[in-house]
Amino acid sequence: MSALAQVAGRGARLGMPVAPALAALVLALWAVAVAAPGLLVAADPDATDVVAALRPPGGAHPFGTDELGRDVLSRVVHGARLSLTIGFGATALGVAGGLLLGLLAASGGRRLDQLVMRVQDVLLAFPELLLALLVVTVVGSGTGNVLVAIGVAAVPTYARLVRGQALTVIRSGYVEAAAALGVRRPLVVVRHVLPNVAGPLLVLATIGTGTTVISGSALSFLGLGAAPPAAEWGAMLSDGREFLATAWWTATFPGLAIVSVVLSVTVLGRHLQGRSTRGEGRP
Amino acid sequence: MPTRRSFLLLSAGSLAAVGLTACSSTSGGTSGSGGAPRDGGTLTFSTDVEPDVYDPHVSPADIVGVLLRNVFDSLVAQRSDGTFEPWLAKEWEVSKDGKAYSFRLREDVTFTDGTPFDAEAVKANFEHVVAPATKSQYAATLIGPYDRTEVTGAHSLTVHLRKPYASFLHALSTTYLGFHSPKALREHPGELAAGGRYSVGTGPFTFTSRVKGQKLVFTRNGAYAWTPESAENQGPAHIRQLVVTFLPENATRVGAVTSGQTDVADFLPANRIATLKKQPGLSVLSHDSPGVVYQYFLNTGRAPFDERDARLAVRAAVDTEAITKAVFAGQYRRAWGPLSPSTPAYAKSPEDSWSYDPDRAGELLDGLGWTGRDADGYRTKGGKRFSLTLLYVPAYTKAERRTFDTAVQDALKKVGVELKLNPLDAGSYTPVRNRGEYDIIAFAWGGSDPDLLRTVFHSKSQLADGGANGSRLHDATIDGWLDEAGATSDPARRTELYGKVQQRIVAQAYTVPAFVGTRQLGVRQRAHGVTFDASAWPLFQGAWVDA
Amino acid sequence: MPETLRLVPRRLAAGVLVLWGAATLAFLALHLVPGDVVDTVLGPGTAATPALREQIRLDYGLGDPLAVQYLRQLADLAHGDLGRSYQLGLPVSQVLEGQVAPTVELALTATALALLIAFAAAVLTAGRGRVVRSLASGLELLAVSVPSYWLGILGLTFLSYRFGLLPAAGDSGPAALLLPALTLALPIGGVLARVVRQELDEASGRPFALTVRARGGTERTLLLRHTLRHAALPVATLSGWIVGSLLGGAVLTETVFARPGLGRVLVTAVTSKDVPVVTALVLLSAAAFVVVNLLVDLAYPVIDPRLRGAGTGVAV
Repeated sequence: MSALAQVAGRGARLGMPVAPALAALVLALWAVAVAAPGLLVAADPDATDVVAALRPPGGAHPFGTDELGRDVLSRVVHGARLSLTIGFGATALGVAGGLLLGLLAASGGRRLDQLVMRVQDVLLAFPELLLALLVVTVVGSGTGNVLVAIGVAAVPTYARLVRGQALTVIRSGYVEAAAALGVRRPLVVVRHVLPNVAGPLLVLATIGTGTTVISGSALSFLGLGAAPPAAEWGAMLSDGREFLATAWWTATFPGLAIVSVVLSVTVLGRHLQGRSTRGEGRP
Repeated sequence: MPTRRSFLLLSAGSLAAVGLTACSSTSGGTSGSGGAPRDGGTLTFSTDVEPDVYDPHVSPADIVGVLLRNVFDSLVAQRSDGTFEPWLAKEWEVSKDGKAYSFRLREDVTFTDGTPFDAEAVKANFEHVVAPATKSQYAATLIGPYDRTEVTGAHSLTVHLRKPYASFLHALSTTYLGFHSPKALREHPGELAAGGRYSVGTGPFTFTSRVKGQKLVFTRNGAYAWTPESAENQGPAHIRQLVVTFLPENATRVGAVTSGQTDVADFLPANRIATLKKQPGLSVLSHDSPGVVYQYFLNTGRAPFDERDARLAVRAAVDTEAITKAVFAGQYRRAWGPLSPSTPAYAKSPEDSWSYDPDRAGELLDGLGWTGRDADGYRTKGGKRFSLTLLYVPAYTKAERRTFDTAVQDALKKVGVELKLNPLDAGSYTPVRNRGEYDIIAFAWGGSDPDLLRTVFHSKSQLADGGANGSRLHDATIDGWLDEAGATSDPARRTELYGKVQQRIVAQAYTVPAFVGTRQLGVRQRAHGVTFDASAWPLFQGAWVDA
Repeated sequence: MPETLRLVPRRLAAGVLVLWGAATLAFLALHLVPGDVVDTVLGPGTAATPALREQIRLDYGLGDPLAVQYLRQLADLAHGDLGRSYQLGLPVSQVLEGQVAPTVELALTATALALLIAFAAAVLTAGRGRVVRSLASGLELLAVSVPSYWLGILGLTFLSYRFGLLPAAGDSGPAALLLPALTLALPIGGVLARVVRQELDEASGRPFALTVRARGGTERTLLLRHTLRHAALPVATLSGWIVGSLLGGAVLTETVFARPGLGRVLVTAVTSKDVPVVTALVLLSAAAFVVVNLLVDLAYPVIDPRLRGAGTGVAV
């Protein structure tokens, strides 16, 4: 992994897209795992074989087997679907919520802006994980709920970005001009603000996905995510923790999977960031 | 982290039970011997979860029973063979109708705050147990049809019951009906739950301090001279201090005992036993937990488990033996019936009376009309999938049980039955369960009294009424036997009746018995004399440590 | 300075507003939870007679209208009464009593380690060749990409179990603190290192750096006395984020390492829906955030002399 990181760092410095390309490749591989895990591994991730429990890596089980004799490689690959759905889904939810609230605050008049921003202030005072824990308490555990919880917890960050960008655009005079021409105000906001917000939002969302993937696995790790037997990386880590002393592989490989995803989105995000700041020609 | 004794927890894994019976074993070293006991020193005991509440009259947690046994004594003590011996009561007599228990108390007993122990103290404590303001979650149930205590002398009293209650002596022998100093009851009733210096009893230790989440300190009661006769150490405790620490993670608890940070580690995980036994300087004490074993209660109140064949099919589909072996690394035994072999009145006859037979399971399911198959390979009847729901509360479910459940799920899948594991939080679980909206729930309930069968299988012990009838059973035959057993004081007759109950439960496949939980203690070489009381919990009154 | 001081009352008022919002949010959230609180108080235990349930309902004032419960809770909070835990039946302050110290100890150690990592990495790599800097940047990237709790698991697996270098259990002295604090510190240290390094790169090209060099100052004095001071500013700005990461991270770190602390209490309280405890912890975390931000606001002029009122912005 650190070799990859080095390459990433050097690539970014040299202006060569080696690292981003590698990152994209890794993500593409995970995309295949999400869409058609059967293409990558043959073993059924849920099939137990109690006679072959906790076998070390090698032979028919390159990543070993877990406490019920299930193939760890297969579970890691199949686990991508749930783990990444939570991570990427939560980011999507956070971005959507952030767009809605941010635009609302920026364009809906002073009172509404004040109200939304005060609520945001309160929400931003909590660590995201704590906020997500609160939401899970309300909506209950489970994959979908964890997705919602992390997504909701991410909303304030995006809302703040969107509102800031939107206000800049609105104050630029565009909107007044368009309004004078008789175009309805909300429509103007959407039409002019969205393109300006899209760039920074994409960068923030890409990097943010790393955080949501980690948070998602963390909540599953705390036992709030998927119900058994579903394969999910955080839950696998939690189960594997029982066997750290005797079977290191059960908690090592799911963790590596998480790192590979987070590393890739972060490298990609920083690459995008570098491009967008260069492109905009920051003063 | 689960900290309450809910019946979900009470089992096997979580229930104390190391006894002096044939099932216990020591390996890898010596724990009971080691020369003459030495006075002084500190023994550290590490268990998994810290109790919420330290008032045994309130808390249902078994860990409270274990820890506070060091502080609170009982009227009588249960011997390992299930019979009772004097403790704080010198002798007792039961009236012919079984409704009045008369006790003569020892006269030399004092609480550690200097208050003498007398009949008034017993009365005050029993009244505290049943007072609604106490909000007892267990003791008030244990004390059963308690009516009133009549003080007949400074050291004699009679407890009147509303109806015969054969388990009364057993109830009295538990820590939950132990005795607070009347002074403590009077002066700080609101703080009894806090433990520490507020817990004042007559026991071998005083509860010196408590740092929540970290440790408890118990200090030797030098005046202690009223052990039950069967105790090896008839005087005060040898160790000067008992320190209890809480290490919820199995791995860290094991690490603590192997590295010498603690002297005795509770609940060793099964997958570490084999290597720990080989570890020099460490011994492993183990014993089957008595009580109701971890098993799958099949909801007989609705389809499909209202039909015996469906229950038999599911039971035949699960290879209990192989799963137990894998999940517990060969350390636990599979169960054959509702009770653990170390429970008094355990019936041997169900052993080998049923077996793993997936073909037979298939035939039974075919016979019930579940002959179709859907795209996922599950059986269908009239287009409907054979799908079952198992309710559980993740926060109260140990990892190894969840693993067991997952293995059962896969075993059922192999015969075409879908089992959905449905996690709920405690608040949503209880109402859903009480309404019977499930096919299976699974739990174990520890205890050394076979009358547990009443709590778990009597038709009057439904979940909504505060019982634990997980199979939602209404079996008049079983009710009759249980009622008779509860009212008779003839031990042989009770054993016979409880045996019949167990046989019928197995014959009717009301449950799928899973495994016999085993409590495994890791003991460092410097610690000796850790014994177990008759209800099978670790006792430190006779323990000593090398310098 | 006076400028900053005049801001204090406003900041405090904003802080109180945040706290009120936090209390309201926590109250709302936990009363929206489906299910009966009495079941929560009891857990999935069985020996609950209807009489016991009624007694609990009365004791916790659960029969009152929500508005009454809400106002009562706010009033109690204003008096510093955090309520009584559902699960433990004890005052919340008593529940949290012994838990604050271990978490603060962990958080402070982790903060110190994170700062050490960040500044050490920055100082060691500043002005170095491309290879060293790429390596540092790669390591930073790795540090922020690894879930800290997994790092803890790896540490336990290899350092504690495999090689027996560090104790695995609970909180028994400084040795047991090292691994948890390190796992908590690494991701934070990674972010800070990046920020500090960027700041150093920019600062070394600024006019004041040239001035110092011209006066004959060595690169070392420049780095240590002047540039690092600049770098402290963005780190201070991130302090709110750091507090958040520490609190969130503590939940996981304490779970992985079985350490006592507020994070563990929170996980327990959330899974058992212990409203008063969760409310108290939510308030505590918001309060920590508010206080730290206030302190940082006050500290800005100290860190950056240019913000001292009539500063000219020329001198360092």
